[in-house]
Amino acid sequence: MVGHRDLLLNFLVRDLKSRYAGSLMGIVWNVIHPLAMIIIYTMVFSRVMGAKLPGMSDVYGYSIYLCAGLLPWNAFVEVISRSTTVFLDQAWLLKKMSFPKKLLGGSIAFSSFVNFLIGFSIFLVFLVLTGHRLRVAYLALPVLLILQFTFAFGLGLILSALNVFLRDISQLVGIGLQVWFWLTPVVYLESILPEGARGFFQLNPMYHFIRGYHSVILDGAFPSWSTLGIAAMLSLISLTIGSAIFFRLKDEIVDEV
Amino acid sequence: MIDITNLSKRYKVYLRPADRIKEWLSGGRKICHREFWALRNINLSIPPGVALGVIGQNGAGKSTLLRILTGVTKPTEGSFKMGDRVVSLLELGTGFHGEFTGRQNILMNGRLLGLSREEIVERLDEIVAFAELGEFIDLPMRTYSAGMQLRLGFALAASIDPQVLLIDEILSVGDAYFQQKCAKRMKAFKERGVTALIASHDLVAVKSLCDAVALFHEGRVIEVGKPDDVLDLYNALIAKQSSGSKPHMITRGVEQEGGGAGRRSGNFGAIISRVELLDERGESRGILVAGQKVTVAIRAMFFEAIEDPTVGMLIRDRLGLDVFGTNTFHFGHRLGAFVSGEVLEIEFTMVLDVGPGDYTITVAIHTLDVHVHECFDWVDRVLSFKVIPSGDFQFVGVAKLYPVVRWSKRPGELEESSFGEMFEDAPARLSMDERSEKFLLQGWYEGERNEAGAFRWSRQNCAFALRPKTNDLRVEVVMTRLDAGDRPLDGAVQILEKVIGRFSLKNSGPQVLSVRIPDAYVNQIIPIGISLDSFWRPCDTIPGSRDTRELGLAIREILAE
Repeated sequence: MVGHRDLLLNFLVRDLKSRYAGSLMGIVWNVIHPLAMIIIYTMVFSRVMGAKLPGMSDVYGYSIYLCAGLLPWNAFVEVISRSTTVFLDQAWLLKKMSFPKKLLGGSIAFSSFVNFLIGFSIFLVFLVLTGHRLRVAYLALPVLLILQFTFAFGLGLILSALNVFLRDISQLVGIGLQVWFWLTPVVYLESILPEGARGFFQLNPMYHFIRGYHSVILDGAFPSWSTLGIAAMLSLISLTIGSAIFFRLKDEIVDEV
Repeated sequence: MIDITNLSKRYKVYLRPADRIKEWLSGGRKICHREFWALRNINLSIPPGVALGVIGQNGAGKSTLLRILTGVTKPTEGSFKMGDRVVSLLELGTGFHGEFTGRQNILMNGRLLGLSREEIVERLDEIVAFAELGEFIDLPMRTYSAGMQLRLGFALAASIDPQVLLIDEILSVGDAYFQQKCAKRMKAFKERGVTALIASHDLVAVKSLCDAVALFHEGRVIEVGKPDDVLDLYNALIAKQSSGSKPHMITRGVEQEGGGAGRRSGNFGAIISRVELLDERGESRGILVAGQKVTVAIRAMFFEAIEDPTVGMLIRDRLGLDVFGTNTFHFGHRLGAFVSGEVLEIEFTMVLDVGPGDYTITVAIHTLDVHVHECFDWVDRVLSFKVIPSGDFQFVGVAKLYPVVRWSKRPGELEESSFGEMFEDAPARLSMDERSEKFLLQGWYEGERNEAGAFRWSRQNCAFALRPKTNDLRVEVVMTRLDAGDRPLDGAVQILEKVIGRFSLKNSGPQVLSVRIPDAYVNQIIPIGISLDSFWRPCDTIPGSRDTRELGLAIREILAE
């Protein structure tokens, strides 16, 4: 992929620009969407429902908990669901031009990453405005993010290749992501899980990533080495399997779309 | 150069998605698909400078071949070799994005076609000029018509200076003007040694663009040769397909006296046994005069009972293009029922109002309006004849029309009223920005811009409309030419055909060209022309430049106030 940096950049710019091309405010929507989400959750949970985190006096506590998990989760969902259908969406391009097909998946991951960074920066500004200090532990965020997007990219590769041959996969992914969401402590707190179920939840790869974000943003603590280690291993496994499956199927993809 | 050796492509066809899973789960031991060979053992060799047309019905394998050559898909067997810079135009607007402007799309697509950013920027003006999209170039591409997308696509491809050009079924979209422009560019490509492969259903385009044609049928090449011969075979093939269960025979052409290699096809339920071209006195002729009355006499023999056959004739020119064709069906003639052994004699008498040149006659006997329904006998180029110019008047082209020519002559005074109407608000000063555009009449390139502002390159001859307020016409020149050393650049300024002043500019550098306008033209809206003794091309002068424009003067401003 490195040899095609230009082309990847081209796809990336094209994807980012085309998201809101033709709309009046264009790229500004990239900022408005996450901003709206943060404001709505804050209003609803802090002001209307008065939800609080146990052991935390901060009125914004729950909103911050929610956003810290939801922003990365949404980015993950975006990568997975867009990757799954990418070859069918871009069939016309695949059939007419020759280029490394991996780039399409790569550009989605990068584009989501850029989009996520915009949203996350707004979240950080919100944190500062509500009187939180940015701490040293935040330096762990880039590491977590890169690992998460690598994980998503690898998984996306698998799903994108398989979906060309078995179109039911994109439907399954839609449902699967919903189930997966509720199996991950994003909305609810980990502490409400029954003791016996904790081990089961640890099998969920996203559990480790989200846990990492929570520990950095809520506790201001570096994620534990075990969390980072598991995250790194997961992304490595995902990338390896993804590449292997993709390599095996890539020549047949264009004949099927 | 394109060299294709033993190329085959197999597709696996799964009737149900579940079949694929079964196959996967069995680890490949169980075969649940059918094989479909889209291409079988293709061998083609196209030398540099040759354009090969690829024709065939839908599903014959044309597109698959192009996809393989483009690298979009891999061949199952065999291999191919090609030059380095391959440009493919596989479909309209490939890779173009509707929300981006033409200009943005050029930048992005140029990258996909393998140009570096600098290379694209360098050629942007040339591409924009070739596409001739006017102000659409800065509008989103979703507002473009199909023809406009094609223009941009071809302009982009044409700017890349390819070694190999692959084109699939698109050239027919453009209007006649642009098609001619493409054809001209294609010719230039061929002269430079570009190898082209053109797949199309547009047989006229194939005939006019290609040096050779390959006919594909069910994944195989069944004939390669001169366009005329192969297209005749294609025609016969189409007829054969619709002849149903009856045997349909296609014979190889027999060399004709006139050099044509006519091919014969049909189920031979009836055959054309004799064709003659007769003059007014009923004598057989091979040379005729444009405008002469001639008769095509056809005799057909029946071997089975046939109800209401149709007999048709077709005149083609030297290039094999259809000049005129018709048949008895189109005239509403029902010829009645024939039984085996009967003979039909039929004559088409007409005035041969065609241009001088070589022609052939093709005749056929079939049912209904065209030969594809059921064709008994189709004889390609059964006769050839020559048409020589007539004594009444000379002309060029394929059709002899009879124009009535009238003319008048008047003194060549400037007509303020008619010219003024077009340029009601012509100013006394033209700065070379967008506003000046409508007053630039001819001989100008797209506006450019440097640190000091807007300017435009003129061609060797250029003209503009102006309403001078004073006698003093001043043309502010940014640059003349970069070559030619110390020799001055000479030229003249004229109003209509009248020279009002001559000038001699030194080469390169800013300077002002000053000419006196006669009193009679002051405060009138007038067309003013500047003509130079020579032009220059950056590509001849500046090393590494690809700019082939024929430049005159770079002008920043024109004023008389």
